[in-house]
Amino acid sequence: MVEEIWEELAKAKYMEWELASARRSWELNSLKETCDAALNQQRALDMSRTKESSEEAYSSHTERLKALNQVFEKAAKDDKPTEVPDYLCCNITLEIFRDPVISPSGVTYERAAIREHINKVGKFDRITREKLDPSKLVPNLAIKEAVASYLEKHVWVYKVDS
Amino acid sequence: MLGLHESWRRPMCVDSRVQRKFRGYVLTPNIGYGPHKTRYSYYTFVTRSCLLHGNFEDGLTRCEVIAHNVSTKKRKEIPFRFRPKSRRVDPVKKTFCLSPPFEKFRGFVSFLKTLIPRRDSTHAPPEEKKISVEEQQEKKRESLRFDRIVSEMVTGAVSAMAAKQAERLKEDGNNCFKKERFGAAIDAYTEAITLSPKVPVYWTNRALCHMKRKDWTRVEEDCRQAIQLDHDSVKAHYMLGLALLQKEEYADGVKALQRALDFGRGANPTGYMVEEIWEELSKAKYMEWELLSARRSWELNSLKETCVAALNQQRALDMSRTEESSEEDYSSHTDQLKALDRVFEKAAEEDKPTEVPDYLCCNITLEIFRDPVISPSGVTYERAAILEHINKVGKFDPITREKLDPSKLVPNLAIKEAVAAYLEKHVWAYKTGC
Repeated sequence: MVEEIWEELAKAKYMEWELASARRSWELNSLKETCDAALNQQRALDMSRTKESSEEAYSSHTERLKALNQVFEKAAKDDKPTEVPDYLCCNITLEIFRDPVISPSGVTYERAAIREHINKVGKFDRITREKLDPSKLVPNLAIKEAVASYLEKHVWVYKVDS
Repeated sequence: MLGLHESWRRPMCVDSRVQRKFRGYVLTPNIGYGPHKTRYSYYTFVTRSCLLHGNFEDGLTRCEVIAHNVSTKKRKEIPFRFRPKSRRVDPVKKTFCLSPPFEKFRGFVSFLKTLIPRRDSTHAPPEEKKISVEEQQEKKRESLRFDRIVSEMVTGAVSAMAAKQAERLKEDGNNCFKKERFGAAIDAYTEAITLSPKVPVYWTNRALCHMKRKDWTRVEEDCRQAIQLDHDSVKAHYMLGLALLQKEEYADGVKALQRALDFGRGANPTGYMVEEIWEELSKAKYMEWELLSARRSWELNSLKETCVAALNQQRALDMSRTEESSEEDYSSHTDQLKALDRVFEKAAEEDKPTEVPDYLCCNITLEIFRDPVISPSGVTYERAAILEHINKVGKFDPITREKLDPSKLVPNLAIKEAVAAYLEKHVWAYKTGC
């Protein structure tokens, strides 16, 4: 039941974000085009005024265009799907944490995944191979908070789950 | 005028010592104003009460005739002032002058070598001219082996003495350092190094003296030597890092400090040095970032101004072409400018200091984590802070109030990685750390 609820929630959040992000990227693109056009026009005016076209002026103009591209890219970065950072993903499921627990050796796993591992394979830590008792698994509240804040900022992660 | 007894009368004789004294030809005693040839031997007329009490390096006793009105405090300082200071080169023999105990050995060794017969091919009798190449080589090897054995014996004996001597010099150096006499300390350590150059401690001690005198080039040299001798030396890496930072080589300095931190943490996680190293490292990273960020923000600003100017110009052109100024056009223009502002703000976001997120800060110190540990109740703290809490307040979790044993604290590696990633991206967070 919990799994289903989670999936529905994830889908809803993703759709909400998709709409907003599409609008944002359209706005950004149009703004970028306007700026580019304006810069080019200004350059044309400058060239006609000075009646010279020096190498330097040209290269500085291309540099400015490149820098402007970078600025717009950075602004759009949040909306682009990249990889979720390693420390927010479980070693077993390789997905972002939903309920992280930490073992006595210091490594954090997804609760369901490590439970399954203990039941099927044995009572030892998967990475350090130390002895591992299910009662010793401590919920990693700090990582839970980290995951929550990351998801708030980068909602596109929800797609991976569904 | 020296104190005279009241029953003293001027003597009648013509040429007396006392008369010379009054005329000014006084034999002043040696009060230690400079090295004097007769320092190293006893004066025959002097009593034991004039002996200088102190540990001299060469084991000889000293006696100096010090003026009677010199205070006790100064009497203790005088022999120290005139201890042998640096390696002098003998101008005739062109060798180093060793301090007295070792000079004895030099002659002894060369004497030993002459006594024992050596098999040297040059002394072969004339009949055996046709010695095969192999035999010649064999003889050469044997003579070399012999040389080596003798030299090993000698160096073994000498180095044992040298090591002890070097240790004593190190102690001297440490005393000077405590009294803030850095020049004297440096001399003492230099001697210790010449006696036994393979001990890294002497190099790091000397580097520390140079550091106090702000002689950064020498600090760097000494630290590199110490690192060659002992790869894990925390102090050496730390001081090397500081020296490189002074030269504004931020990248290398940061690396050296990071190594120092790693070795320091490995050896003793709660040691005082770890704290210092972390502070220096944070400062270094912050300065590195500040330079870059200032340049970046300047570039961004100039770009933004160009864009705004271009947009305004375009608008002016449009207006002049259409010859109308409608409300809509104007509002869309201002909207565009606002949107542009937002875009540039976002691009500059990384460089602006904001607040470090809560989940990366300790509840006790309220600062970003340096060594996070998690308690059995699930809350993460700074290791040093929670240990202090346990020692001072009690063995319970500050937030949940559950029973808490220091052995049950688990290092929260995931949060450690998260902190590292955050700091890489937002280097300004280092400033709050120090």
